[in-house]
Amino acid sequence: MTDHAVTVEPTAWPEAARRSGTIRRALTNLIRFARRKPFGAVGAVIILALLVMAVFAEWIAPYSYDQQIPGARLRPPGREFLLGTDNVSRDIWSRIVYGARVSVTVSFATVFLGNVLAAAVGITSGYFRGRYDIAVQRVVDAWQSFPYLVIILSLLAVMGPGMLNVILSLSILVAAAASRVIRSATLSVVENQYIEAARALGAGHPRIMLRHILPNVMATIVVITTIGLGGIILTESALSFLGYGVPPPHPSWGSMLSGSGRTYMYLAPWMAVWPGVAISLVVFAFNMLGDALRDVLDPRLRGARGGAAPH
Amino acid sequence: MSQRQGGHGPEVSRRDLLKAGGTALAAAAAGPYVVGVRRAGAATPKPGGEFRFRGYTPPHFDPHLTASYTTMINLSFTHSRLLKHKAGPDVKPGTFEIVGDLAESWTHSDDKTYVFKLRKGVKWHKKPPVDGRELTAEDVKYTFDRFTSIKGNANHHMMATLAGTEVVDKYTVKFTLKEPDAFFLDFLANPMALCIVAREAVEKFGDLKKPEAVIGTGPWMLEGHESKVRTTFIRNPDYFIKGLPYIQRIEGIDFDDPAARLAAFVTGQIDAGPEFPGMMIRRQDWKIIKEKRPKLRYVEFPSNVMTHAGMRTDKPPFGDVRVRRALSMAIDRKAILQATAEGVGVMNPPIPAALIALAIPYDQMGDGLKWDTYNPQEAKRLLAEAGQGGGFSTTLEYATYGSQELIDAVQMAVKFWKDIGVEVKVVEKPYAAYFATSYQGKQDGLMMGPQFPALDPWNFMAQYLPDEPKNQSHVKDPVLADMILNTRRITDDKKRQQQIYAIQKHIADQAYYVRFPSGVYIAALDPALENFAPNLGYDYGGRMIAAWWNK
Amino acid sequence: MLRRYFLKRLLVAIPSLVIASVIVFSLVRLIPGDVVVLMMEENQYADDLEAMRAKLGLNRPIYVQYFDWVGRALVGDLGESLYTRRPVAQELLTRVPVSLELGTTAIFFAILLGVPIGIVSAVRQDTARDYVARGGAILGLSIPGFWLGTLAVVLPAIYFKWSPSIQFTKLTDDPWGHVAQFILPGLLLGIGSAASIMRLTRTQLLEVLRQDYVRTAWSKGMGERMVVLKHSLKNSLIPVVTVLGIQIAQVLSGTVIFESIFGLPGMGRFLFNAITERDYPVIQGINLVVVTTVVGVNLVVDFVYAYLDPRIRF
Repeated sequence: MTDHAVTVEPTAWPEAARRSGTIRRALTNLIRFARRKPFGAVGAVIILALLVMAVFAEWIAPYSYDQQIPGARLRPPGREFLLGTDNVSRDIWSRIVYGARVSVTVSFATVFLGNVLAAAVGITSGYFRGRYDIAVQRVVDAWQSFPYLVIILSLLAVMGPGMLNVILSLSILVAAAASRVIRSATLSVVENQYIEAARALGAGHPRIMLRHILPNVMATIVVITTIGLGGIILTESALSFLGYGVPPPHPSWGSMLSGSGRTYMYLAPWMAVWPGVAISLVVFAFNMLGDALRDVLDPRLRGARGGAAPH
Repeated sequence: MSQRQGGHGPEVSRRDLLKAGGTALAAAAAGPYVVGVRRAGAATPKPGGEFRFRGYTPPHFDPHLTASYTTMINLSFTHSRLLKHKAGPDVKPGTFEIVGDLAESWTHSDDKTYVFKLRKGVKWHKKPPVDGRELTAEDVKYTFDRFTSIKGNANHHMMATLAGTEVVDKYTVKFTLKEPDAFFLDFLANPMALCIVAREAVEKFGDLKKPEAVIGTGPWMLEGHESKVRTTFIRNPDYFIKGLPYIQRIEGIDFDDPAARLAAFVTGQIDAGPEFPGMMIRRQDWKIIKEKRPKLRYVEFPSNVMTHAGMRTDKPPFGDVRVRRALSMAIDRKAILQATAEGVGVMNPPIPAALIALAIPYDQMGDGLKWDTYNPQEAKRLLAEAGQGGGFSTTLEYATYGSQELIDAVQMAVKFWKDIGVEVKVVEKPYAAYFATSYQGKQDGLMMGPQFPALDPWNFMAQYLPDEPKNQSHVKDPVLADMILNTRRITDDKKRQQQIYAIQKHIADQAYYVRFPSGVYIAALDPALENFAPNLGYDYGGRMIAAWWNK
Repeated sequence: MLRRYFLKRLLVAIPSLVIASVIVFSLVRLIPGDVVVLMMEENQYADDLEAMRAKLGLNRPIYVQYFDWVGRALVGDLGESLYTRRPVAQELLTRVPVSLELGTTAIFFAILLGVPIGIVSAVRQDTARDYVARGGAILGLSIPGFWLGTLAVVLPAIYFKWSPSIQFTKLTDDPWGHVAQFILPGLLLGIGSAASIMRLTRTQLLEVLRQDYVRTAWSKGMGERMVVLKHSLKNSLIPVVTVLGIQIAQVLSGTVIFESIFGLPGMGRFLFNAITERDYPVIQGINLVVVTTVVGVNLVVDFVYAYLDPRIRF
């Protein structure tokens, strides 16, 4: 794989916001963002709703996610149960709300962990270069040649089922891909003169990496993080289909869709429709927001990776 | 003569099911049980035609080196046993009357000796290196010797009591046992562990694993095998029953996805229901199937797959019988049936209710019945009495088997136990790990899972003997062990039946396992298929022998 | 110049392959659950596990097993399946083409759909067509693949009494039927990649179109536009080619799901089953083949990229 050096130019917009620092200025910028990138704004709103659902699930959901409501089996969506009930007499709306918590936990934890690892690998690789860089890149290359599902299935077969294990294996995957991009971004930052200057002034390596490089590749990280979040949710649902997803009792949207959703497809289509819509909507939102952020924060990034989300 | 009698009457009526399973519940939508078993009519059977069903790719084809149903189902078309189970429209599903296959007759001169007279003129398939020669007593001896001596035979315990096999003459075989074994004939009739194999095939191919080595005396011959795609069988023109089989070609198509299977069935790409074990359909799909493929024939009968939860009775608190009874009483079995099987199912005594001739009628279980009845208050009281009033926590290990029903059942059970103060942490294990540990009793607290759907009583009772690998509850009950071992020696059928009932009552009263109800299978068949009746077990071939297409 | 670049890339690829082979080998050994015990199938406990283990060579030290495996792999012997004792290489020979056909069909549709829509979207930037195209692309990315596959198999059965054949048709039996059975799953598998390619084409084309000389030519009218378009496309498609490398690895991942749903006996399903059954030689063999393919394809892609864009050939 060839490396495409990606130049990161801090654009004017975040500079302005940093300089002024007042709430009013921030709000104005927010509105400007919404006007320029309406899709991105819609995406942001959806994600906000997702986060609210995840954090305040206990207040929003009328029932617990494993509560078996007597006499309410396989009810279609209606007044009493907004999205209907499933075959174990559980309220689907409540399960969707709690499912948001699972989706948020798994995706955010994975992407956070993965990107921390990726940043460590990518920044050091791009900064130190030389033999260390070559060796690391070969390992990343090898790792990336594996179809992602193979790695995850093998890792999960080793570690066993469980939400934590799903997060760990997915984050290793995220780390490999993201480290590439971060390395490219680092390469271009390193070329800047003020890095040379800092070194001449006696700044140590860690200080330079943390204080000078990291902030400047942050924009890149933000963009790939946002798009990556959507991909993780899709991957988790694919894993559920294969039997390796987040196990019960946590109601993940993926397992709702691939499990009883598919079994009761004819008798109770609503059991599958709602988790499917939830997944699609949230992934859609992450992608839109990510695109918009990329356009605004780092226009040069558009050529790099195309933001593919694995199926 | 130890021959079994079958059940009474051909139809599975509601009353029969009720007697077998106690409270068989019908959800409003299901209606009365559908009777679809047809008798052999006056029409003359027409030979020819092709039958497509959902098939299975086995790991290999050697019956002495695997116990997998995928192998046995395939071999049921190509091989014969000494004895088999009667098949046909007048056989009630869940009953297994033993009749001769290769054996023309058999006598039982004393407790430890069986003499079988083989049919004459039985030809092996015309495939090299056996090339269609006649089957003799030597082949039987060879098979049994290989079965008992080969390393890695998961079924070898079936012939644990066999001392030796002797060729008396060309068509007569004598079996000598170490001790009386009332279940010996059951094992001989098992599909297809003791099917008769040819020496030349083993010698030429080293073992019987390859498709080329599948040479038997059965009604069909293996025509082709594409791993994970399809297996095809073609009619054996020299089958020892003249005129049979009628169907010319059989195709077993292998495919994973349940949604795709259903779509294939709805669009007529398969001739019988695509679900395991015997051409079934899933109850949730019944409505749509009735709409899209209206002219099908349905037969309902209970499943002999029983899920149970085992526990470490050798460790506190499970050693206390009150705790075990409480755990059982905490479960609302009807609710689980509602959630996982549309409410249609049968309650299980220690031998699954589906085995009509062997399972004790549910209402005769005595005290055991109390412990199976949903009563959370009484459960809590028992726990308190046992000194566990404050509740306790434990773990439950299981594997999903890819079954949403099992996943749901586990979740519901955990909820019910939570309601009486028992905190159960669920540990899901991948199948391989589960099978190597929890399934063999190496769990810490509880384990839960479906049990092997055997057709004979020994399989269900033997697991209560100490040091048996499947003794998941670590039962060490000398009284029970004695009763079980003695059953082997009872030659009188009626007395043995009483003993088996007594054993079940004892087990139920001791609540060694929490038993869950079984669903009711729905077999779905093309109406033009005459003279075919579904049943439990892997003997697909045996049930197909006399079937024919009326079109 | 070009040859040196090619050799350089080749030299770089080899260590990757070696590392990958070590990963492949060790990953599988870490999986718990004794394969021999599992082989002694569901219901009973069998004797003589040690003898079985010795026969399968599982009791030798691990590095011996590794070098033995690598040595044999280099001459095309990937060992035998622990379960069926059939040679892995032989099984792969029948299955690899199926997955490759599925993958190729998917990439074909991805390009067929992605590039034209990307062009339209770029040329008509920020118009309704652009939004619809981009919205549609993201939607294609957002729906779980197995769900699309399920709907594609089930809905026609319900509404049109038609379903894709669950029987796999070989090339030799029915050439047209053989090709046709890949169309639907290929299309569905390709949708995700189509979306990525569409977005990439769009942004690349926009980059090029924004440049001054292009804008001038564009404003001059229809005839000029065609020339400009042709010229810009050539430049903007270069990154698309490189993205293909990533897409192939991803597509090969996606095959297991579609192979399950559409009943295609490909490598994805084979690998998935092997992981469940702990069949080490099969898992290793498939991983090796896949990794080699991906590395090889990337090499080719890099080469094509270098051919198209001389700046890269340093």
